[in-house]
Amino acid sequence: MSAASRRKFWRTAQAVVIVIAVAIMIIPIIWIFMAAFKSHVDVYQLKLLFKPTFSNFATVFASPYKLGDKLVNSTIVATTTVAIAIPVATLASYSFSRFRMRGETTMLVMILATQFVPAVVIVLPFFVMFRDVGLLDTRTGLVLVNLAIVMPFAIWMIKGFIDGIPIDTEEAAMVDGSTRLQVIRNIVLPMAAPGLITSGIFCFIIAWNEFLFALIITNKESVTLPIGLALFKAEEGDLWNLLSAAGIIIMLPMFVLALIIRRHFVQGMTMGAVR
Amino acid sequence: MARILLKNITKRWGDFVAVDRQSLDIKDREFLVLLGPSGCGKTTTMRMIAGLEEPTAGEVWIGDRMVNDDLPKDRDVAMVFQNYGLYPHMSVFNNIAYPLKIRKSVPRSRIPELVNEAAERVELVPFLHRRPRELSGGQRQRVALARAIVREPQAFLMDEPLSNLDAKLRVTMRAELKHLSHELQITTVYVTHDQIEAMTLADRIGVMNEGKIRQLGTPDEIYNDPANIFVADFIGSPSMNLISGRVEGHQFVTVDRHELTRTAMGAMSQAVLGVRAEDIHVVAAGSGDVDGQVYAAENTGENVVLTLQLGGQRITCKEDRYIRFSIGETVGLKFDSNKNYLFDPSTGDRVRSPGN
Amino acid sequence: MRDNTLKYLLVLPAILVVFATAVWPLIQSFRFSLFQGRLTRPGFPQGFLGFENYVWALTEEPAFWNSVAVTAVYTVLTVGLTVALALGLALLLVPGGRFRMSVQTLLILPFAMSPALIGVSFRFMFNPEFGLFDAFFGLVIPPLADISWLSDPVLAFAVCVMADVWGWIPFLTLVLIGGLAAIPRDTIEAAQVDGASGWQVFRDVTIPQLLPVLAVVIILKSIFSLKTFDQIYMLTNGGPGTATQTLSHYVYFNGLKYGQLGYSAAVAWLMVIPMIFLTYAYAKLVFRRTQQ
Repeated sequence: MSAASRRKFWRTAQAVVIVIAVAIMIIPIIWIFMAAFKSHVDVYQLKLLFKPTFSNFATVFASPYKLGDKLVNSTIVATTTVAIAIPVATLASYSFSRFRMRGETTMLVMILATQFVPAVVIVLPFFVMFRDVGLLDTRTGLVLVNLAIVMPFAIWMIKGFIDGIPIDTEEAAMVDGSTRLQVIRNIVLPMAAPGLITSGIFCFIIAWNEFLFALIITNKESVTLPIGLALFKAEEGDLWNLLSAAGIIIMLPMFVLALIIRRHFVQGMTMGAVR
Repeated sequence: MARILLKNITKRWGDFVAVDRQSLDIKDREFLVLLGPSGCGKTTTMRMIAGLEEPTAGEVWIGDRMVNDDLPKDRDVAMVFQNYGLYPHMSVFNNIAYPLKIRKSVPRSRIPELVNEAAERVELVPFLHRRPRELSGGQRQRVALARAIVREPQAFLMDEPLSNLDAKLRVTMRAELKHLSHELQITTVYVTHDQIEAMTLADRIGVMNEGKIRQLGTPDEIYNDPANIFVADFIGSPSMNLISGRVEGHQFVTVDRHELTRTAMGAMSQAVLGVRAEDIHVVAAGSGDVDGQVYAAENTGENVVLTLQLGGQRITCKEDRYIRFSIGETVGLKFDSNKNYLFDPSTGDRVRSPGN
Repeated sequence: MRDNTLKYLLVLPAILVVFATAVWPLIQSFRFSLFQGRLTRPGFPQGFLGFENYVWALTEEPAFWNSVAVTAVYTVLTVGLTVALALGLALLLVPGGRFRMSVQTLLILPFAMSPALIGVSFRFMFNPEFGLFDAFFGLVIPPLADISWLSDPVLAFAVCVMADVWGWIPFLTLVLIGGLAAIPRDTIEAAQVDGASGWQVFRDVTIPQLLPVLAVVIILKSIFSLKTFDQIYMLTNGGPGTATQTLSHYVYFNGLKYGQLGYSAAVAWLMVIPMIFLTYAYAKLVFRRTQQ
């Protein structure tokens, strides 16, 4: 084989492997999309062609499933978590990034470490405490536990973004007469805005997909979408078309959010180091 | 050791033509410098010789072999990269030894001896156990050199090897390179945008612009006999004065009707006159070819660079460092009528009179 | 206000939140682990036991050791497979170009899927009657046709591993692409000119320079494999029997299903021990990288 055709062969082989890998990654997602539009009968056959129907979506939002309630819960919990976590984390990250403090490394490592603690360890005391103070099955309770997951991650990630902002602009503003707080408000916040939005979206995705805490703490009133999936395990077996429709409602908004922040994806993930 | 031959090589990325049907014959043992501004295609040309870039068309020959289909490892050339390309996880010794180890061209037992020899040539022996990150810029540069000279390749390829060094070190390393290339006598292609490097190191210089070599010649030819406006403008510091105007009766007249100097050509309706700063002399007002006002006078230490306003034109000339001028002062300019060049502004090419 | 005061004020709210939501429960759960703590009985926690809960788990409970084994094998397999496959995919995708860039964008999608949903999907895919993967495997390896995957201990475990690997490959691939792209191109080209073949360049130049990123990726993945819960819960719920019961699932089951909170807390704390080592290693790597 000549060098040129050998090169061509390798190029084609690589493309084929990539396409197969992508197929393995994407086909399950597509499969779920398809199942969500299949009728109850079609879903139990390996059919590619079928008559699409929206009835599954109507069913999951209707009684007894009432997925709408879960959607509202998920949205409120995730939004509130982000709304608390990002401002608090931003202030801390700025300080970690720009000042040297006593015990700074210890604090940062501690924050990082809490990230890696298995959720089952911290959920037990929360369960007991919530039971005593009546926070079980409330959205407030869920926001509190979600903060445990999201905060350390947000601090590390935002710190990374602020580290990347050159300090000159801030120094120029201070020479021009700004106080430190004015600098944060007028210089750092606008410059870090893309990073803050990225971090916010990451935290939102994490809170939205959170499972274990919601499983243990919620019961009826404050059930979130991932837990809502369990509703479709019926006596006669899983209701796959409904599960798929619910699945789409869970993942579609996250797909959109993930695509918005795709440019900062890797950077953010390695800095936050969490899922 | 070998001759390198490029036959009509072209490199295109989409619509962008980096190198345009360039042919070049580099003689055995020659030190050839490719000189040009960034983006002119000089590095791409070198990378095609190394095999790091595949030509879109044309042939590359090293020795008596067409190497288009050969991988870089099979071309037997050594390369020094702009950022050195040192292996950060290996000691200096292992960096230098790597090409020998991987090629198995010499018995393993001889490797230490050869590495030491190469290290000695570039004065690196005390640093052999260090990692690249523990070295200064100049030392890293030497490691890259040692890695190239540790074996005897067909040719050396050097891609702006001195550009990351500070000015002083660059001068020192330049001399060392010159010495080394004299000792080793191996065909070398050297890419740079620094004309002094080109002038001092080269046997021949190829001045490149927009994907083509605009003039190929000895440093002397390039400096004293530029073939076109681009080369005339690119070589020399301060760069050559290029004055627009026309020629009437062997006399050059600027666009705002100043008569400057006699020329070899009799008549040109449109012309660009090229004069080097050192070929214009400042004399008392009224006693030269033309008068002008001092716009700026810069003392560089070794001489004074004078910028003169002449109607709408500015002309630079170099004067003796002891002469002082004040801004706005009127002075006379005397041109050396044997040392000027005429160019055709429409093609940019040099215009030579038949007898010249 | 002086910076010296301000800098502590700025971190204070964050430290309080982290303390209240993570550190305090951690300490609290350690306290539980020293007591007899039955949720179902009044006066929780009941009697002080010292380390008896720990001793009990380590000496008297085969179910605990079963989930240790499940978690260990699960971790080794998922870390090994995910990292190896992600590295391969990253190498294929790193050259860039429009095709490869759009593939990289697609890889972000599986990341946004919740692990619970991944669990559900895989249960769907491996349904013996109408699962897509089941049909595919049946086609390629006929003995596997129409097998009830999730009722067989070994196959169920395999499906759990596959789901995990499937969910993690895209993210690790993207991280490794980042790592590969950060390797100076001229070191690779220098090796090519020096005479190294494709494989030699990979072995001598690429891998050594990727090692720090690779280490981060391996530690990170190990941490998350060790605490896997969501997928397993939705996919097999630990079954059949306890064939896929990871430690997290074991803690959940004992603590909240059976109400043995003290005992569960002890097991949970046993899980924390390997985490401490991994976190220490991770922190060291991260700090070294940020300082460079």
